[in-house]
Order: sequence, then C-alpha cells, then structure tokens
Amino acid sequence: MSAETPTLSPPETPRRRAGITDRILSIVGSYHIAVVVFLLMILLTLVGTFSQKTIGLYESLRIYFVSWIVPREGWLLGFIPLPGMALVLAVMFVNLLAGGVLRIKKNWRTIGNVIAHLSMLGLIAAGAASLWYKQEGHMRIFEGESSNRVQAFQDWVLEVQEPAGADKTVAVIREAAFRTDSPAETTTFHRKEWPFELRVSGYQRNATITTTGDPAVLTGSDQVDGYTLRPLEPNAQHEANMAGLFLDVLDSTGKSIARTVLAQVIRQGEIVTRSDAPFSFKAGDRTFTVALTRESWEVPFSIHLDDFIATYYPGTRKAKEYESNVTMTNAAGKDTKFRIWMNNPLRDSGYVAYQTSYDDQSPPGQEKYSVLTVVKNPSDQWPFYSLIMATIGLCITFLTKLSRFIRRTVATPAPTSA
Amino acid sequence: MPAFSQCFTGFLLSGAVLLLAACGRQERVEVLQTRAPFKNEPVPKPGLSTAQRYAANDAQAMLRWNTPTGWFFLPATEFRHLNFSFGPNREGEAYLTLLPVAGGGGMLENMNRWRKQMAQPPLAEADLASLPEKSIFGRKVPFLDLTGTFTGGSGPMMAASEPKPDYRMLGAIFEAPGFLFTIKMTGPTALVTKEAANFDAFCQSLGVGGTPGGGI
Repeated sequence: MSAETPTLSPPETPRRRAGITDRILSIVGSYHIAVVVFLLMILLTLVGTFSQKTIGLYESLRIYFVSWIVPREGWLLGFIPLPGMALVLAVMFVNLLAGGVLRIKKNWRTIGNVIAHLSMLGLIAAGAASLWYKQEGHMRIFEGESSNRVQAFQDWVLEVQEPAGADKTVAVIREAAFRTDSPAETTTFHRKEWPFELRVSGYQRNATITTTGDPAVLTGSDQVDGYTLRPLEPNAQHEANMAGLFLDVLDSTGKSIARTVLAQVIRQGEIVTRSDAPFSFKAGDRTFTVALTRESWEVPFSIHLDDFIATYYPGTRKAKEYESNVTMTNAAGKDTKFRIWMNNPLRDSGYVAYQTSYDDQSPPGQEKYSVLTVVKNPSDQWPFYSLIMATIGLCITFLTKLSRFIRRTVATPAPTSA
Repeated sequence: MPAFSQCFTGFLLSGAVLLLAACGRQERVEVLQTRAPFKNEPVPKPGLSTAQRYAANDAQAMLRWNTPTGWFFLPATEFRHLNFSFGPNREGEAYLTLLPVAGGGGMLENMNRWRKQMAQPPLAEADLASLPEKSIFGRKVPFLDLTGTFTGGSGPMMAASEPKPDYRMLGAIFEAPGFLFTIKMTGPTALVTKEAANFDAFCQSLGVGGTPGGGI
C-alpha cells in the first residue's frame, strides 16, 4: 500500500489589516447608523406633521425640521430630547457618503447604486443650502409704480442706526436672537461700535400696543409712559404674528439710561405704526434709533407694475386668475417686459418672482396693487437635477440586473429527459 | 461590525444629543448682521415721545400730560381722545376731546348739552362771563361744576345710560385756533370730590409738544 500523496493547497493570502481610515468609514458608514437615522426621520416627520395642526407650519418647521436639536417645547412626551432634522440629515449625509459612495466596491455592477446614492447626497445638500442661504419675502407694487424692495414674511427684526452719524450702516438683530419662551427672560445685545448695550425683555410672540388702563391688560403690567403690551393669541399662520417687547438701553455700568416698549399699533385690523418715527435715545452726545420692523432687503433689479389684470368668477369677488404685466429694469439699466402669472414666474439674477396675491379689497377692475413673492435660493434647481441623477442611477441598476438575469438564463442549459 | 463599536457609536451619538439639548439659548449676543441704507429710505426722525409714536389721534400726538396717580389711561375712542377712568370700580370717567371748530358746535352749545345731561337749565350767552374760571393751557377758561342726576351717555360708545342720581360733573370748554377743547369729568359726587384735585392737576399738566402746561 502506497502512502497517499498529501494534497497541497495554495498558501492563504494574508488578510490586509484594516487601516484607521477604513475602520472609521466602516463605523460611520454602517447599516446600523443608517437604520437609526431612518427611524429618527420617520419619528420626526410624524411628530412634526401632527404638531402642525396645533402650532402651525412655521413653528413645526422651526421646532422639528430646521433645528439641530429640538427645543424643549417639542421634546417627545415632554421629557425625551430629540435631535432635529438638520442633525439627522447631517448624520445621514456622512453615513451615505461613507457607506454608499466611498466604501462601496465600484464596478459596472454597482455604478447605478453609486449614482443613486450621489443623487441622495445632492438632495440633502440642496436642503442645507436652502436652509442657510434662502431668502424669501414679498414685494407689493402699486400700479404705475416701481419697487426693488422685498419684505420678509415671517420674522421681525430690530434695526439700530445712528441717523446723524458718519457710518450709516444699519445693525440688524433677528427675532430668533431675542425670542424667548417666557417674558421674564432677557437677552442683551452688544456691538463694538456701540457705546451702550440693548437689553430685550418681556418678549411676546404676538402683541400690540395699548394703554395701561386697557381692561384687557393686567393691572400692574410693565409699562412705559402709560403704554404697554397687550398679548394676543399666537396665530398658527406665523406671518400674522406681531412681536412685542420692552427695550432697555444700558450704559457701561449696566444701568438703564432709556427704556421703551416696541410693538405694532393696530387700528381697525390694520397696522398703522409710524415707520418714520422709531424709538430714539442719546448715548453721550450721539443719537441712535431702534425700530421693530419686518426684515427688508433690496434686489438687484426693479419691477414696474405696468398693469394688473384679474378675472373673477361670475357674480363673485373670487379671482379665477390674475396676472401682473411688468417691466423689469436690471442692474445694467436694460428694460424687459414680463407677464407674471400663476406658475409662470419671472427669473433673473438668481431670483424668482411669483404672482401670489393682490389688492382684493378694492372693487374688481380697480385693484391698486399686486403682491409678488420673491425668492432667492441658490439650490432652487438642485432637487430637479438630483432626481434626474437618481432616475439615471436606478435605470442603470435595473438594466444591469436585467442583463445579468438574461445572461444567466441563456447560459443555463435546459434540462433534458433521461 | 464588532458589538463594542456599535455600542460606542450609539453612546457617542446619544451623548451628543443630550449635550446639545442641555445647551440653552444665548443670553448675551454680539450683533454682527448689518445692512446698507436703502435707496430713497427716509431718515428716521428722532426725538418723538412714546405718546407721539403711538398716538391714536391728533390730541395724543400734539399734547403732553401727566396721568394722575390712581387713574387708568384707557385706549382712546372716537370722541374721547385722552381717556381715563378712576375709582375702585372704574366708575369715574374723565376725558379730553379735540373737535374741529367747524363741526364741533360752539362753546355755549356744548356747555348747555352738558347742563342738560345734569338736568340743569340752559345758559344764555351773557351768562358765560359770570362762570368761574380755571387756568388751562396758560389761559383762563370758563369752568362748570354741576351736581345732580346724570343722564348723559357714558362708556366708550357714549351709549345713553340709566339716570344716575347724586353725580357730579366738572368740565371746561374753550376754543383754540381751529379746535374746540372739551375736558370733562363725571362720577358719583363723593368720588369726584375726592378726585377733584387730581382733575385740576391733570388740567395744569396739559401742554403742547415739549412744554407741559405751556400756552398755545
């Protein structure tokens, strides 16, 4: 009997030890994180959507969808902190980049998946760009007049300036900086150019000015010169809310040298606050003014409303359709005629102007002004491009799998009978 | 993926959420955002008082006054341009009205309307000279002091009210260029008597622009 010849097997290829980058990418790009992220997205979408019914779209967006951490008022069951959608999407971006693009084996079988994953990264990036850089407001133009100024829909700002100073720059403090959950909380603002500080207190999300004797106001409420804030029920439509607050001007020792109450004056449902007469005070020999107003900005073109046309349903004041015929003058002084109507906006210089409203109080045929919504969003078309990319990636994936299936089917011989 | 890595990653993420959640809002903020003035933006007008900024009518925009201690400064109405109430149940009323001379009726007509509200006979033109006077806006103006049953309109809408016995009315009416000023106080006799000094102080504090008690 001969000894069996031992079978030699090829030597094992030593496994390459994973470097630190690979280990980090494997953790960051893991399916476990992806699952957690998707579950959090579902949770936030559910909670945020249900909350919209009571608190309105703006507050729902602010609390759940554009925050990094959900503020205390939005915690689950009142005591469970939640990450905001901005944080969740940031984690998803890193997870998808690591796991779906960098770590994935790249060959003709996976190229469709890679493209689809890149499209999802593009969607998330579009959201981030919109969050940080989008500007949106309305422009009200009377027939025969021009405008290049846009006013924000939502938030209020404090604007501080020195009318007689050499520097005409207007300092702007956004509502997000002085908004508080309780009127008892204060926020102090400072700027190196100022010989004073400003302290905001008594913030109300929706309020108007009234006198201290108004029966709707509690006796003993904070007041200035007989005027105080009358809190109003916060409106679910945030653009209807009017911020109110008390303002102290502090000297270098922290002592209050001037005080006022700021809010809008409403008469017969209209805001009639004088825009030319803000609060003013002296700091040393310098005079400053502070106004509570909607944020405004200028666009690099002006729009002249040549004609506004509205068509009404017969016998009603409900507009069937309406349009603005305008002349746009760009920064170079060139005039262009446009017709702006529903789903047919004006686009120029990165801005888009939509027809959204008009003077519906005047009799038909005598409408005085048109309202355009003006949006500047650098990522305006990114979702569109991302969806095209996703379509291409998924088509490639489908066709790749289909061709493999067909080849496998053709290569497998048909069984024959014995 | 090793179990340790999963746990560690989960711990890091949870810790980050809790840490960020614990961060409160900023109480002290440096203002960095600015904008340039707009083209044709009007220059703000400094120097206006709170009342001038929030004036509900010409009287509030034009006048200066001191609200007496214990009086409630009410929102203005169509005919009560400076509007106050006083008393434990806010039953006392005091208000100033600024009427255009053209549509406001003359001094005598308004005086007799007030006298009728207090069930008093009307005055003749010649009787005005014998009325007592008070100094308001730096000038001597005829003054009414009536007691009786008050049947005039009251409340912000000047609705006709039930007769109110034992009431007292203090009032002054005078003409200024283009305007007729009426200053009136009504309430239970005891309450008005108690607040009469405050009514005088209020009248004395009236002024135009930056000069309390100054002439017009």
